[in-house]
Amino acid sequence: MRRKIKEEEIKEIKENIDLNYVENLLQNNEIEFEYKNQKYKVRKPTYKEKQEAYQKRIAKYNELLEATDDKGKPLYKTEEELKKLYKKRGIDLDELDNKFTALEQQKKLYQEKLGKALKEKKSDNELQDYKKQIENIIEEQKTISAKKTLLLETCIENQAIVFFYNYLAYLVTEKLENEKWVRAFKTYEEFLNNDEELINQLVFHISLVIIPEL
Amino acid sequence: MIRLSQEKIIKLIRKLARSNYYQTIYSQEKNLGLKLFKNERKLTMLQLNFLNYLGFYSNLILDVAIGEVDNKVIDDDIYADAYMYYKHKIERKERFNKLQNLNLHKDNKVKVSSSQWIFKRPIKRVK
Repeated sequence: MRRKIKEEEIKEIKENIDLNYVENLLQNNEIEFEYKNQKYKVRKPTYKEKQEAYQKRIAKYNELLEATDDKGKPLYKTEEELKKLYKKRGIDLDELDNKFTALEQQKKLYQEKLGKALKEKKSDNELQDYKKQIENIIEEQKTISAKKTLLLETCIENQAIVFFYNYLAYLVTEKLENEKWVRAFKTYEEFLNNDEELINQLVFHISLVIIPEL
Repeated sequence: MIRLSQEKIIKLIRKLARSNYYQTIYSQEKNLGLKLFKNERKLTMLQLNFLNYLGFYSNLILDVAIGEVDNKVIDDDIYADAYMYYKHKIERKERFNKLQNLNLHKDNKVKVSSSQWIFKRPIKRVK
């Protein structure tokens, strides 16, 4: 008799697949994947490539800053301008930042309490209470972050960052052709003309290999 | 194609970092020349995060082994973070107190001559 696979077993199988995937990502500073029967590789950019992308990012930022409509009115807004506009409409983004910081402080207080309780080997009930408080705070912080990201998505600074990641993806992506890895895209235009799903995958992998502060 | 959120990836990295397999490689890396990654330099963001968590869990597992804390902290990310946060805070406090005591001790010290050498008079030679 065939046994029905339980939901928990499916969850476990999926978890193992995901774990294998992450383990593979860790093995090397190059990430290989297949998209529509074509093998792609995203590698860590060199200093020179990063510098090139950075220069392009500055140019893009200035271009967006100077872009105007037919009446000479700026087309895009900086983060500060957007914040002022939202404030007029009753959405205070600085207030959201303050709330996030206050939650962080609160989280640290509960972490200290939970850490002490763990060290003193207190009851599970007490530990669970503190854990629940921390989980609630993390959820609240996630909501704030998501809201802020959504509200500032269109600002010039964010558009320049998205462009930077796209440009890096264009620079460092290689594809396998006749058993040889070659540059996947000849021009940035060619990169942009690909499937959105492929571009998203490439940018996602770039975000995993580069260290933002360097 | 697998697409995971950054949050999920970090969760899985922590799971790998606390596993017996990677903890053993981490602890024996220098002795046996075992390698964690194919690349030796130019680490990715993900690899750096993984290394940080290997160190983090190595400390935590040691604390569990010497009975400082129950092993329930290992598999629970919130417990693990809270315990390590508390531990580091206590350690910082202890270091600060130690340093303050040392400074206090220095201030109260009676000033003595900078040189404590004892010079003996040269013995006169008998002609």
